[in-house]
Amino acid sequence: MRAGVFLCECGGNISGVVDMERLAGHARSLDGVVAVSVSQFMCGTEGRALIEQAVEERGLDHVVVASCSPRFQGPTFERIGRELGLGENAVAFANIREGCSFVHRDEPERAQEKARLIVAGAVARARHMSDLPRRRTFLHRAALVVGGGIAGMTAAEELAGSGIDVHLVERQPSLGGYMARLAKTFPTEDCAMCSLAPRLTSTALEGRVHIHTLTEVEEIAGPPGEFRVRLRHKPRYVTEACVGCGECAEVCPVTVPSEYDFGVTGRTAVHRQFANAVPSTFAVDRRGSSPCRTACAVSTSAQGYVALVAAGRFDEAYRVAAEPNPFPSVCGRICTHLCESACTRGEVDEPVAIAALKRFVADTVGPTQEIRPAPRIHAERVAVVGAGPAGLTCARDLAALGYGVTVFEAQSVPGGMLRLGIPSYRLPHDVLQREIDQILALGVELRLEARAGRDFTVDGLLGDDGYAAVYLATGLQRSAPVELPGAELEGVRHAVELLREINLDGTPDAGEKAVVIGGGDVALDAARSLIRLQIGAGREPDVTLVYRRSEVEMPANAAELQEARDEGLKVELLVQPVAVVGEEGHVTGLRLLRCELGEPDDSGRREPLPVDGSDFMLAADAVVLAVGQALVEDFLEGCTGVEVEHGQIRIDRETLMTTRPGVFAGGDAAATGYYTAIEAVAAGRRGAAAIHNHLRGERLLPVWAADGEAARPSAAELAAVEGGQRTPMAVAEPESRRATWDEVNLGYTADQAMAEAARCLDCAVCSDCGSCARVCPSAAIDWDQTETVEDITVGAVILATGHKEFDAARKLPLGFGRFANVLTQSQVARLLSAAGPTEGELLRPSDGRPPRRVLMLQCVGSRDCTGSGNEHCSAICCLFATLHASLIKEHDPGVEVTVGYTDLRAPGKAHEEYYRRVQEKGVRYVRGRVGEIQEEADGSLTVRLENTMTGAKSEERYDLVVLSAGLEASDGTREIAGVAGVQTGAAGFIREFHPKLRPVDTQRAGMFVAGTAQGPKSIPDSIAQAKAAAARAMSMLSTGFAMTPAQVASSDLELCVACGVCETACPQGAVRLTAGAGAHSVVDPSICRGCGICAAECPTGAMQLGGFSDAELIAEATAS
Amino acid sequence: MPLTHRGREILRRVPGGHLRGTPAVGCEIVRHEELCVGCGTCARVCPSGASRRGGSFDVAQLLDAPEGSRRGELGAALRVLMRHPPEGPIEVPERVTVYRTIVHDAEICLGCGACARSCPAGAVEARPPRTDVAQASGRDQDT
Amino acid sequence: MSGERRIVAFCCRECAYAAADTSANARTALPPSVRLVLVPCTGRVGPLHLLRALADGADGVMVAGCLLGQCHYREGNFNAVDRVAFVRRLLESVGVEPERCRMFTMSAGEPPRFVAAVREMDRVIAALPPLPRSGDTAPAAGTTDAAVAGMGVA
Repeated sequence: MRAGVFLCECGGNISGVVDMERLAGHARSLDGVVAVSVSQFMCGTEGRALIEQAVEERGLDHVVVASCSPRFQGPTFERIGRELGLGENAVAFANIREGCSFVHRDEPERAQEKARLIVAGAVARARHMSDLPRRRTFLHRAALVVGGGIAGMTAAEELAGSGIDVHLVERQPSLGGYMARLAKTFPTEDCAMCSLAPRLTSTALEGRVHIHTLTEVEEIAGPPGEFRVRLRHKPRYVTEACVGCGECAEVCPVTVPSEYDFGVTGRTAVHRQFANAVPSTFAVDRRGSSPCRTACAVSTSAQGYVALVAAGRFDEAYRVAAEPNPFPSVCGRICTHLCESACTRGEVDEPVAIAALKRFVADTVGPTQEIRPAPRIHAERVAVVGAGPAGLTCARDLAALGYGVTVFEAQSVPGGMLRLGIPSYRLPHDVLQREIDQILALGVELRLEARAGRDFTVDGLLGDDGYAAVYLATGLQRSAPVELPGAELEGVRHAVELLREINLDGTPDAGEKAVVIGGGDVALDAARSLIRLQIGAGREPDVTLVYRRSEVEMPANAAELQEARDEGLKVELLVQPVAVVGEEGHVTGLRLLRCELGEPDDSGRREPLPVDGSDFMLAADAVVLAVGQALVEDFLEGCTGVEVEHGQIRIDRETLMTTRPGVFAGGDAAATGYYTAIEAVAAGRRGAAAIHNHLRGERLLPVWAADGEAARPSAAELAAVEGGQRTPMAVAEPESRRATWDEVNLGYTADQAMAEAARCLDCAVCSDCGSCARVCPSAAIDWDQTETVEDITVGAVILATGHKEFDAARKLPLGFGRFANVLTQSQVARLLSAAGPTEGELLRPSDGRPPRRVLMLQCVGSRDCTGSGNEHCSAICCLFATLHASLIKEHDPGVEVTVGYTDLRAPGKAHEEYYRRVQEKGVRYVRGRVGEIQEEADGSLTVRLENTMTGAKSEERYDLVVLSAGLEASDGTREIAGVAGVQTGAAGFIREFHPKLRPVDTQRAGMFVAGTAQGPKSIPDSIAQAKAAAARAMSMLSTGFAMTPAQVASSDLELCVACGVCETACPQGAVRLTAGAGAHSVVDPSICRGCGICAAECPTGAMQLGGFSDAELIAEATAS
Repeated sequence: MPLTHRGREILRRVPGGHLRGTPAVGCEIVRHEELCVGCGTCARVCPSGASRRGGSFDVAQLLDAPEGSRRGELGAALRVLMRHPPEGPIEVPERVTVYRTIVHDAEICLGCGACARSCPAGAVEARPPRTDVAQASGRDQDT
Repeated sequence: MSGERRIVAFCCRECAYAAADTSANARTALPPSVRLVLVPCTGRVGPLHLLRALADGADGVMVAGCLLGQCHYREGNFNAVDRVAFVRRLLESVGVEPERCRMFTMSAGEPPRFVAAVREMDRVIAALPPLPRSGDTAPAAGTTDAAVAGMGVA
């Protein structure tokens, strides 16, 4: 080594404490030092000349500068080293100013010794310093600007103007950000939208700016100059064909609080944030599928018809309810309504009475529908065997698709189990018949008393009869065999058969003492029917239901069980029948064992265990078994090739075809789900789709509907819902109803229905009711849009993701969120905006009257060290309040406006003058602190205020209190900081590289920050910062290439053992292992930021950090 | 070392781990801790999880490490400062990865020798199994 | 070599070194025992650096970095905290006072915290006897230069 040591006196700052000559003497004695110079100011031209001369004359290869902290003049000397051709790592620093003379002024002797040590350390270090490689990297001439507010738009336009392609990403449906929501701006009081609108237009017209709204930045990878960005576009559900007429919003039945208006008003699910929004296309706020819809077997948009009922639009509600389901009146009564079980409202109080609402619209609107025959489009005819819910639904869908359809039914009446298995007090026959008639009205032919295998055969249908396909929906007509001794006795019946006889207008003998075995819906139906039969026969009803488990495990509907008990049903729980006993072939009673509950079984229900010796007799002359049904297989006669498996017709799950081509099956006969009516309807729909696909030879319709993502309101939204209860439905009196077969539940009135529907929480916001699509004149609504991902590459990134208002509800004593007349400045901005919900009129929310006394309260959540607020000053609130006070005074000078402030801060051009002008207008400024706000009966607010100048405490009454809630980083700012890997500071604002010197650079090279994402600031400051950030991005991109830094890690292949510790340790993802034989670690110098964590982790010393190698550090640390 | 019952069981689960004509199953694994650099390669390649980085570190490993190695340098520095021989192993904080004594669980070990083959420091030795054991474990070249 | 006690302080460029510069510019007096070594991040400092500093002449060694959670490279100071803890356990296991090695954190804007850390370290080391080193055993020459190693015991 040939090193020169250059000692700086720093104009006495160093030489005043350290004897430079002695230090120079020491330096000369050090090994490898060939030149020593002292200069008054080594950083000046004289110093540079000294170094240059020494390098040239003495052939130096290293320079040791003993002067101030390398954090100050380091770059200057490093540049000199580079310029003198010494390479990248030729200058060592001895910090003898901050490290010595400044801090040991009173101990010159010890300072001298320490200076010697520091210089020795630097010289020792220099001995290990060698040149470091740097590499050129390519820069993409494109930029990403995140955030479409005023800062983002400004930066985007600035960049585009210099020929750089810009991707402007905004997560909202339109550009504009916070500024678009302001009424006016201080101190000029010009309308915010008037200054913003031209910018919106020019941004939209700038060809180089690619606007991505409803888009999130999901990932930013790669090095500066070549950032690989993944964008996720959320579907808008409205295409560019939208002309912005707003017809859709007129008809949308859903209203949710408007984020744009800070909740002071509502907006519809299909909406546009403001009139001159860019883009002007509307957007549908559709948060997946509502839980009620997801739960429904036919994906009925319950939220859709509920919303329409709430709006009093029953006709449209009927369309939504009937579109996927030809039996809305039926299902409104007897559906298992899983939609209600899934209803989010149930988490607050009780689920919305969805089924009852469906029944209401179907009963109200259904009978008025005029059905015309569906046009026949296809030549093929399809035969449907079985006129139950599955068969009839399939027939309807096929007819609607344009096929000729004939339904064959063995019984004398259509409807299957709906007609024969459900008693008419639950489902009146005329209601069912009406909906069947509507299906037949489409042109479906119905042949009754035509039993497959007897009156016709499937082979015949497909053969001579010329049907192109057959749908088997024969159901399960037979009761499952029961292994109970005595089941063959006279007086023992199966529930299915009993109900069938009743529904075919028979009056079977119900005995005097009847017992029903079972705990399901069918058992209850049988029991309640027996009560009616006994009363009809002139007897006092005596019916007992026996069930093995307890009431909790009972599958039957709890409400119906109560109804049955009201009608006089006796219930014996935890008893198991052992045998039916009889005399002379006729039943006389039932022997039972008492049970207790054991451990839960496979179904999760607790297993009943008989108790030994607990058997007892229950006298009965009629016993009804309600325990399952089975397939009657006689229809298979003359049906070649159709296979039965486990009591069901075997079908392919995808094509729904049986083992015979052209023959399909569904419903209970080929169940794919539960044996419920709605599952049968779903099966029918799937069957029709499958048959259509088969006949057309391609997959035109999805057989199985794709499950949408279940939407639900946020926890906060749920917490804000006030609890209540369901609107009760009128029910016939037990005493009278049990004597007839008339319907028990009487349905809702229109008012009741609307009140009940209003309880819906709009889980998915858009209810999929389809109203907008029906009215859109340009057919711009597109439900098939999905989320898409786009990958782009950019050279630079500007983060302009903005701020949000501090949540004033966190300041409990101020009553925000609890008292109607406590608002925030942002909300008042909306009320004072000419385009806002009140057209610029300040009206207090409680009664819509103009307030006479207004208090504005400053520093809400700002300059607050209590933990519930932020420590920083939000910078703009004093003038924001002053602006609004001025606007209120302008509008009506009679309004008293008081501003309660902590300190009035009005720095910035013309701000103090503005404050004075507003003061002169009569706005009262009181330096004060508020203890608590209380609401009076008339909505006014009593405020306890302490004047912090005079110390006087007073209680004053105001009509309106406006909280100047401070600024916090927006959620978008917090999220993008994580995605981009930039640091944030207090309150989540993005931290700049250096608060003074590099105010728009982030800690990550190539990423810049602008606007309130960096901290609270006014609009002009945001714009200035945006332009600065754009300029930084431009200067970076304009060179076309960049040099990788010298201070990066690198791995010595000889020493590397490819253990991967460095790869795991690197916080930037700059290190990776190569694959295969001779694997080793490689550092990407364009990603490495030079922290050296990997080098410290390396078990062999292979990984070293340029400029901070182990040898360099140890040499410096151990010098003596 | 005979293959344990558990070893055989694991071997069945390892893809391609069934007994082959390689002498590399049933080996006895002998570790030379003084040579270990702590890189954890043995733990990474071990198919059965028998080798892993432990929670403690035997300080003597530094003192016995060869001169010139990273651990050797640490050991040399430590020897200068040392007032008495190290008192047993020390517990290692979470983020220190390479100064951990490797735990080798012979009960789980298949004796496949992957660790020995991949150890960059030659700290792991796989001693071939005795013939009778190899036969017992079904080497197909013998049958 | 004078009888002065010596403490080596590895300071991260982003916070500790910046705080040191600020306090020095205010001419805050510090004990001369502490000599700063600049590192980009405390995550760069490994056990070897700390042990070598002690073995080669320092009576104490400190690592000063950013506040936890505010590392400019995300988590480098967490690594440093654990490595310092590891070195302390190493020292303890061979009978050396663990307080000779310590970690401090501060933000760039907290010069008083830096001053307090340096004074605290000096006070602790001053209270300890000089660090004895075994004879003139030269540390093994490894990847570092033998000359440097030699200087350590000179």
